[in-house]
Amino acid sequence: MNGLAAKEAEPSLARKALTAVALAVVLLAAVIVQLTVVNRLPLPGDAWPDLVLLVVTAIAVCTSPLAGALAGFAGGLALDVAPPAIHYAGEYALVFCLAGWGAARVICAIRDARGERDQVVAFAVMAGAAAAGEAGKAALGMMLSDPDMTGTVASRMLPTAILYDLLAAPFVFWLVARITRGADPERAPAPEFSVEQRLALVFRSAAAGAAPGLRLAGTGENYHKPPTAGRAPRLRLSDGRAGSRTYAAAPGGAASPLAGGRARRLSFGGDLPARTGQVQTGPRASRGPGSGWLTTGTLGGPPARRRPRAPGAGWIRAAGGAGLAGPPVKRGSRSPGKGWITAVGSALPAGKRASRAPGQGWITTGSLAAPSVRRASRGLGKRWITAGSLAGPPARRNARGPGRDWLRAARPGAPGGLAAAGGVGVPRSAAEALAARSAPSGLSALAGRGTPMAATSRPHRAPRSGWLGTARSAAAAGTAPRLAPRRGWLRGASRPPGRAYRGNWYAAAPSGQWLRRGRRPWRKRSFLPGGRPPVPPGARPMASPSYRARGRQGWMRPPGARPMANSAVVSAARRLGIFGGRR
Amino acid sequence: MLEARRTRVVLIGLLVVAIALITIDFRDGGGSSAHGVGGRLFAPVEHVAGDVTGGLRGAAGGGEVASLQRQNDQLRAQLAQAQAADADAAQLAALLHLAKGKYTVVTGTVIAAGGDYSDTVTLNVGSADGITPNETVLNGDGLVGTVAAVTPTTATVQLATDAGATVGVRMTGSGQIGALTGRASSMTGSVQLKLTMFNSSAALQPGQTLVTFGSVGGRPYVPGVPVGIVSAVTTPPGSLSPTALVKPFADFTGLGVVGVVVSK
Repeated sequence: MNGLAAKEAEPSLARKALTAVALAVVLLAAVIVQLTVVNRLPLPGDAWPDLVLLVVTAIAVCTSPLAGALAGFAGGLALDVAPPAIHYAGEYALVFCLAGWGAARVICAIRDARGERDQVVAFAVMAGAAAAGEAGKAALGMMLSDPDMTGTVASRMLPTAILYDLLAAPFVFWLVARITRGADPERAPAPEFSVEQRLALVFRSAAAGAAPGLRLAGTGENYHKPPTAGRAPRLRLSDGRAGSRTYAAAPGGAASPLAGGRARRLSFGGDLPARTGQVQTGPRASRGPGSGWLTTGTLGGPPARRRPRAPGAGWIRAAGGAGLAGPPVKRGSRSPGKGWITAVGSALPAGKRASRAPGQGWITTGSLAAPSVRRASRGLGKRWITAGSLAGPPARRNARGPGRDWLRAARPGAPGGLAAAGGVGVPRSAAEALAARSAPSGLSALAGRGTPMAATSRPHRAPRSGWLGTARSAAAAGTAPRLAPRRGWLRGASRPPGRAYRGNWYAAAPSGQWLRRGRRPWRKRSFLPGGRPPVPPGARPMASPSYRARGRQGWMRPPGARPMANSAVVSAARRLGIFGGRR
Repeated sequence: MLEARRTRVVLIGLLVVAIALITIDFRDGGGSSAHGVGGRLFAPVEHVAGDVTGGLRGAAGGGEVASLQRQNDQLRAQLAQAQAADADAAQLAALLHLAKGKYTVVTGTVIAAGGDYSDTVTLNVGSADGITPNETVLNGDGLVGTVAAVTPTTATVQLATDAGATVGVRMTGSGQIGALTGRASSMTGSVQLKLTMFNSSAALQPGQTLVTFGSVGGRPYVPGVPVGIVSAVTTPPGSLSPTALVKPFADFTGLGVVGVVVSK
């Protein structure tokens, strides 16, 4: 589905080539105009705007770092060797290359953090890069002891030159933005997801056994890309937090015992600036939950401290409050952070812990606390694996790792998903719908005024996301079948796979179609759009029954590892009323 | 991720190339073949652009032909003045064993100009017209600069206002000699050159006129070309020789038609 959207949105090759040619022409024209016209203008201050630098930075902020660096090098070299120049060849090429690349990198970082493309921000970055480029020209000239470039000259001309650059920048930016508009990834969500798509492929093959040692969830060295914000569910548990948008806006949700009992534990990342600010600080937010979690003190820090940050903490503490939680070590071992890391990162037998990973369960819990435990267990391990067979959003999300999502979700007001929600309006794909709904605005839109995107995307979506997305499902979620499967699950690892899920807890999920098929969800998943992932030759077949069994028992959880603590925690939590809705 | 890696590789490659270019050019003193190649590449384009902009300028200024005519008259007058000054400098030439030759002037039009930090212009005449580096460039008002580099069809002129330019000058009245360097960094905005007299006891007064002192073989400066007028005298503390600010005769911001003194 992502691939489909990408194909739709990806500008054609001809269009790209046309854009590239147009940009090259603009760059050359800028060089010529700069030399023959601009430099001869009798401007006050004895300085002139540098059109080439402006064009380079504009190209950079409108395209990519690679294009920015190339354009900078070409434009700078042209200025270096075109006749009137008597400075050393390569000076401007060096400076402009760095300026173009840097501007594009900054834009990429901002876009990844904010999830959207803002023209004002792009222009600001361009202006800053142009100013830096002017300063770089002067600095390099001074370093090379250019007689034209002395401290006094620089101090006199640099401000004027930058001023002229800023004056001329809007026109250049407008021109370049207009040229690149067609080939701009701004309208195409595909480039934004492209990395995730590639990762999803990797994970699919990994799930199929091609690379059992592959590390997931941002712990691997291959995972450098900062998270693209807003696509993760922003729900998370936190005690005493009322005013969640979902809760408030849930139609009929307040009446349901589920929503009523649990809503105070729901909070959106965007709703709590103070709290999320914590998460956002430091590189941890971008580093993924694994490390953040660990350093946060899953093992060392007091639960209270961990709590606002780690979703697991709340969960753990709830268990601890019941007096069932063991010593810190034990708690730590149960903590989502760790279990999560080990499970996700190394696919090691940490499965037991992983099965409990609150990170995901926590996230997915959304409005349903009770199934969360079960889901968490399944969420990471199984869903992860099965995500391989899902071309849809779950694969994407999983590929990105829940931890990061979680962290990211906790960012304050991260407009991430707004790119999809606000920029596109009507989602074109389930991925967009997912992204849109996980964003605050998307959520409020969903909860508040009904959801076109939910309608379009629900059939493709895993129940987890369905849960998240629609608070209106709270009422439905409160229905009976929820309890049974959970219990079945807790007990059921030794049971035949089919039995454990007979009372399908997904019945509580709002995604109806999925559900209806989902009497036996694990089997039905392969029928979802996107089909089954390509199984690499020699890999263990992924969707085979043995796989399924392994997926439940072997992969996530080492064989024989019984969720005893899990049931203890669940019962404790139940006693606390955390998981309400038991009947 | 792959893209980022590729970008990094490309960026590093570009930076290495740029630094290599700088290094080579630095070693060659700014005269590496890169400039020649660039000149050949960009000269035709600049020619066209210069013609276009020149046409526009001429139209704005009342017609290029009239402009050229005016410039020609001025040049002729200037040449006469230069020859007069030549006679005046005969003694000096004889004294300094200056090689006296016949000079002809090749006129050219400015088609491009350098950027913020280098006072250079490009003329639409080049080595095909007999121009070689280190030749004096002047216009109807006075000294403009010297030819720094040539391509077959273009010549790059380093203006007298460039910080790297140094002109030997002589006071018309007293005959005192000194050196004129560009970019006196006057904060007033107007172009000012800095004059440093060789003789520490030389009398400097505002209003004195300067002409070029001349160089051996007329390169880079032929003698007798009017340069400018002393506008202010400064005596920096601790300096042995008096200095002055000189306002050049030529209008460097509005250069159009200039002449290159070609030695035969």
